[in-house]
Amino acid sequence: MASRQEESEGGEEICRLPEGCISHVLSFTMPRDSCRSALVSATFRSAAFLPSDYQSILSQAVDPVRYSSKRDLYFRLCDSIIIGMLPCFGLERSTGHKCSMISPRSMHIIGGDDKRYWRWISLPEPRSLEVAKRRAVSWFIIGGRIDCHLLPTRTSYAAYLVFKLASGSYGLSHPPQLASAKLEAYASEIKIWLEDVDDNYDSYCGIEKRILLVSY
Amino acid sequence: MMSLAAQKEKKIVLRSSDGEEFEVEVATARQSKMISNMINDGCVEGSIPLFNVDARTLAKVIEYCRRHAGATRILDEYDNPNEEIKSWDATYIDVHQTILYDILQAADYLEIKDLLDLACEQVANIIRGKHVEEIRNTFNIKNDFTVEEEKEIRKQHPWLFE
Repeated sequence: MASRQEESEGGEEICRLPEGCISHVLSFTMPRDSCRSALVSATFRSAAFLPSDYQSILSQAVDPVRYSSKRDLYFRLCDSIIIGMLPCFGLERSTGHKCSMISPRSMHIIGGDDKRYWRWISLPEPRSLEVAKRRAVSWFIIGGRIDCHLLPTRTSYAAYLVFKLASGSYGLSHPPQLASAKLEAYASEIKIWLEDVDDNYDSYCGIEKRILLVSY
Repeated sequence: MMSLAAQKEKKIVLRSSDGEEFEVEVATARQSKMISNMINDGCVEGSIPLFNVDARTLAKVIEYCRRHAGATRILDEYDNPNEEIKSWDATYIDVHQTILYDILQAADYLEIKDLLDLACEQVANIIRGKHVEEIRNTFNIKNDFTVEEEKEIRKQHPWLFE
């Protein structure tokens, strides 16, 4: 009983350690322990999941990123920042995985400059971004490219299409759309449904959706 | 540059946050990068006040630095710490968690890399192999995720809660 009491007495104190020290502690654990620790509390998660090269990421940020703690920084990075070569960079909130987003302006959108087909609007949330809004027509083709040299090697990747449906949109549930992803000789082609008929339509509209196109 | 013998002769005084003074050899004090920089800059006249380290912790830290000063005695032929010092370190760091965190914070503040690594590894040993709830209980950490966040995490990483 005495030792148990002693344990919890000492236990109250780990939270007073600076987050930098908690990161340092977690660097001595195995990846599985480190992952588990990330689920213990938000402070531990930011300590465990903040990428080790975050200082280099911050140094490339176009606008300086201000933060009060590593936990704060973790969430700042989840909100996306603009860094040098990668137009929109952020961390995936629950896993801490790095995400790079190709901004709509640097995508290849057929007829993107034609006001009859596409309109450019600004979205304040979740990231301040100019996006292309599709007007009602029967077809569209959009594509994006990312320089693989910017991506670290020996890492698994997945590509997503991120979009929102405007309320009152229609015709995207059938027929399905065709999506493909290419990396050197590897190519994949899948059918996707931008409008998911199984979802409650009202709750689907206006919410940012992402569809997995490919994972390596 | 002073000779090693002369450095050993010279002593400097460290003052803990609660006002206790400790006289230490320069070679011992130089284990701390922070104090070493101060010695190089010539600002160690009188005593050095250490606002973040209390007397109990400072005594423990000085014990470590004194043992590790004079690196030639503690390295094997491959420049790795020898068995003797490794076993000394293991006994030294086997302390109550409260003291462990005090040492860890002091090592961080005073920039004593080897001691910081030793203390961090000791905390890591406590975490290793424990489940989420066990870690929370051991360290008495308040779960600060919202109900929704926790639900999402449990859904995404069910194996981590097994």
